[in-house]
Amino acid sequence: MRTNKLTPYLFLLPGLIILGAFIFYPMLQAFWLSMTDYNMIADAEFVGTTNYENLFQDDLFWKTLTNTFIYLIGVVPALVIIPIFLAVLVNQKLKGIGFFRSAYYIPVVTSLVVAGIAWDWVYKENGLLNYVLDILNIISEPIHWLTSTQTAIFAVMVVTIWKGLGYYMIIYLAGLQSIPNDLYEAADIDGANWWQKVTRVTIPMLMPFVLIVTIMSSIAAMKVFEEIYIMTGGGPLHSSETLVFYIYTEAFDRLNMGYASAAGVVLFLITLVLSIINIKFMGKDNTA
Amino acid sequence: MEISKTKTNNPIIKKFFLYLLLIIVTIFMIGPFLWLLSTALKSGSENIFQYPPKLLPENPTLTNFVKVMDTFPFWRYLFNSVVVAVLTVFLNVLFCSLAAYPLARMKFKGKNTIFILVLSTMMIPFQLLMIPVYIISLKLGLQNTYMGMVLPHVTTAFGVFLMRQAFLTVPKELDESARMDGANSFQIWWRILMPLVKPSMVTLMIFTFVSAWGDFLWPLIIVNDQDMFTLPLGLNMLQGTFTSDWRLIAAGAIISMIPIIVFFLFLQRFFIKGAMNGAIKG
Amino acid sequence: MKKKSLISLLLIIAMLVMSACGNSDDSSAKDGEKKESGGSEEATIEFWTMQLKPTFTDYIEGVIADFEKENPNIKVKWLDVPAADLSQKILTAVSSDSAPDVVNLNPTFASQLADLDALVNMDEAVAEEDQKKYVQGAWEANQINGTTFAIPWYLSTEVSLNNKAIYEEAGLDPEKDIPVTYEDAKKVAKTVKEETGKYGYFPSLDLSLVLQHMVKMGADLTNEDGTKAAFNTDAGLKAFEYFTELYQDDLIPREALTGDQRSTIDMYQAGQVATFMGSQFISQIKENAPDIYENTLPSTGITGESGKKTISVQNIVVPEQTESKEAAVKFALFLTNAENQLEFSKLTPILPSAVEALEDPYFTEAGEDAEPVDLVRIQSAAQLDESELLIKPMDNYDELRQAMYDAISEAMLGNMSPQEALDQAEAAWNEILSK
Repeated sequence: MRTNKLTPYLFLLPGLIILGAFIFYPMLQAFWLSMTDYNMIADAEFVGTTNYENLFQDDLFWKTLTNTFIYLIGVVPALVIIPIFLAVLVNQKLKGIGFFRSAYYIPVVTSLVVAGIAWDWVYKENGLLNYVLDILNIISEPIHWLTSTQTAIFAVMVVTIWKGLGYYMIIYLAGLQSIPNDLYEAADIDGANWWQKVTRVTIPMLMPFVLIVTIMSSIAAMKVFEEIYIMTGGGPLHSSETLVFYIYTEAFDRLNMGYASAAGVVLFLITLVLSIINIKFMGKDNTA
Repeated sequence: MEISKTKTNNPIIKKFFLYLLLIIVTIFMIGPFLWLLSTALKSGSENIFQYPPKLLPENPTLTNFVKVMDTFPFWRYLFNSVVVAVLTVFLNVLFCSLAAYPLARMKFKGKNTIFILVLSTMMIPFQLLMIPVYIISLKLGLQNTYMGMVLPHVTTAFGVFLMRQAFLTVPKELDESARMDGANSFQIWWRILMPLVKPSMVTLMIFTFVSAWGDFLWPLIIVNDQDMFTLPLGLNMLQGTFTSDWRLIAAGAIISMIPIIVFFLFLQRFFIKGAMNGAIKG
Repeated sequence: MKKKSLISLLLIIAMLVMSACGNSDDSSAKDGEKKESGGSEEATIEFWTMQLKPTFTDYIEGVIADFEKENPNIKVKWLDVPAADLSQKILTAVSSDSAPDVVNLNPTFASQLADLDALVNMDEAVAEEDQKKYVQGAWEANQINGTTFAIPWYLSTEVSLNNKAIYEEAGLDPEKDIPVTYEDAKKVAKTVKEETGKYGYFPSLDLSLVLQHMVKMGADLTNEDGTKAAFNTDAGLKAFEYFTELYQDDLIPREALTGDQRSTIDMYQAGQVATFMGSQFISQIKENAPDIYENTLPSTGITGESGKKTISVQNIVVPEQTESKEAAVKFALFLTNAENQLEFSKLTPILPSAVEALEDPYFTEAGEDAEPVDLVRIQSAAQLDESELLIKPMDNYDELRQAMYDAISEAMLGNMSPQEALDQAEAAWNEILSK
């Protein structure tokens, strides 16, 4: 190409300035604080790797990390796959389709504080879900969805999925617009049925967007906090407590900012490795 | 993807099943919202926590909405929210599309590193960055300003990522032929690529609008002056230390959702036109 | 030529950004004012409260106006902060050296700041005769390591709320059978469950409540110098066994263990619970569940063998970082004086911490048409003398609290016997206390 060597950097400049000031620099600070005893009030003192050593000996850290991975495995596949079908569904030329698109998007914009109460009604001992399962004769006695160590984390996952479906649907919807109609016409000529068109045209052409959704939903799952804070408070017995929840309590309830930063750095590194694997694994064909 | 073009014996039956499916998913998605709506419409004499819950209000009323708007300087906060959201959307779409272009289209040193670095900004919880970000903002004189609420959000890894992936779907031949005609990089970005990725741009606008509109923690930290409050900060006041009237909270939540839904309804129409068709065929 | 358009675009963006930053000027000017402070000089103080808007807007603004009239050289800037996010906001402010001058905090959180010397010592800042104007127990509630880190504001003592309709439905007499002790509560829970299928009693175990229940049942938490756990006794075991039994026999809702205090009030408002301790929610019940409110009968809080009752205190602190310490303390004293507190407690069922205000007949005499709200206030005031702060501020309090909560959860969920769980809690406490 005949463009000047500086051109790409000029395009990147405004964004990088903002990210530099408001994220990269604070991130470096967090790395530094993870090696101090910072409590947000007194001056930070360097303590070397003490925070990390303590962290790796902390059972609760391992427990919350495990929960975070359970969350990741439970939530990401659902949020990568189901929204593809929702997007295909609302991409029909039908009357009133705008209404349905908006309806599917409503969970994204509903505040979790109020949605949490509605979901409480669903999950209660004598709530909607147990009622329905009872009528269908699936259960003989009510399941304690949010109050038992076996089910709490999964019950919260459903709320995360509910809230994320519409979000990722929109990303796919945008992706669907960029698939040339010729491809479908060609498939029609070959006599392909609906399912074949989805698997042979739609999904391969959507791959750049599948990559985004996979990475975005993984990062979001690694950082999940609000749903848990509102619905279970991490309980019972830390069974639904995730790493970010743990970081939050250490930092703002116990003023152990240095220690919390160390946990944050570990979370960062794990997420980074995961994302790089994702990009290498899925992004090969379309990384220009 | 247009199913209507497939060979089907009976289009009416097909449509019926499509609508049925659409409605079933709708029920799952807006169930909690219906609870919200019904709570907001309930009158003062009705117990909103009664068991079993009642979905239909006994004496539906709009007074809760009126009350919410009287509780705090509603129009002032609405104005602040609009300013913050519009500025954030505009700058974010601009900066992200600018940054995404070389990451999708050019070869240069440090490209992969920069891309990973940008992505990595999403990977650390904001609570850990909050204090340094606040100190920087103080130094830049951003406390109690619109820009203080806007600037930290005007480049997001998600935006850069989304626009990069969108640029990747545009066939390279298009910019090569434009370059033959003497267009420079900036012109290619603005005249060729940007019009072709409208659906992704719209997606980014919607997402940025929603997150700027609903942002709570950061405005709360950076603003110390009640005149600069945005709607979510105002609505939070409905949950008091001694009283929490859930009818008002629900009404407030709905009021704050309306602008987003309107914005969405307006923009979602861009998902109809296959943006590529003209370019490829023409 | 090619890059010109790009560069001009960047310039436009830069200008846009700068122009939007422009209006920050007046706010930095405000910060400037703060610097000149002291006795009679001009001072602007920033005052933060916890979620009092909009119900008390007029009241607080009235107090500020009165104060500014008396002290024309001091300006008060009020900011109301959501309770859930106050700790994040205050810590961010303190860490960047921009703390407000007067803040409303709860003692647990304030004691952590005090432990790090971030708060003004009120023993020194407040004259002794002024200290005596406050209820002694309330003043002492804000002490850690020998310093007093706050001025007490409003108080409350524990009052039970009872749903008369459920008592009657279960064949109980609301006048006679309302529980006073934990044992009574268990009996009510059993009867109500058998007769109606509802819950008779809903104890919350959120936050410091596990510790409070234990103390009320007669356990000491630590030895006298606070270096070792002292609750692994019969009394401590009894507390663990009590809640384990209620929970496993399904006599209290499952949410007792996991839910926050919100779930207790939600279930009470739903008419699913006969008795719970949550008189601070009385106004909320009036608004959200008027039919339940009608049926509500306040009564003295449930306690155990110790007969102890707990008092909760909201307080006012002045951060060390303030540049107008004198003005800040002056305002804190003004806000908490008898006259202003009396006015405040007429707006909501709380008790003033100023002795003089408490002598008002408003806290002793129930009128003919007394509503549950009034009965709560009078009941609360009547038992003030016998109430005390049960959980004194401690170092590493949050960790201690969590360790006890985890242990009792293990017992209630049946993972451990109550004795095993108590042993686990003791070991954890000894480790934390030895730090």
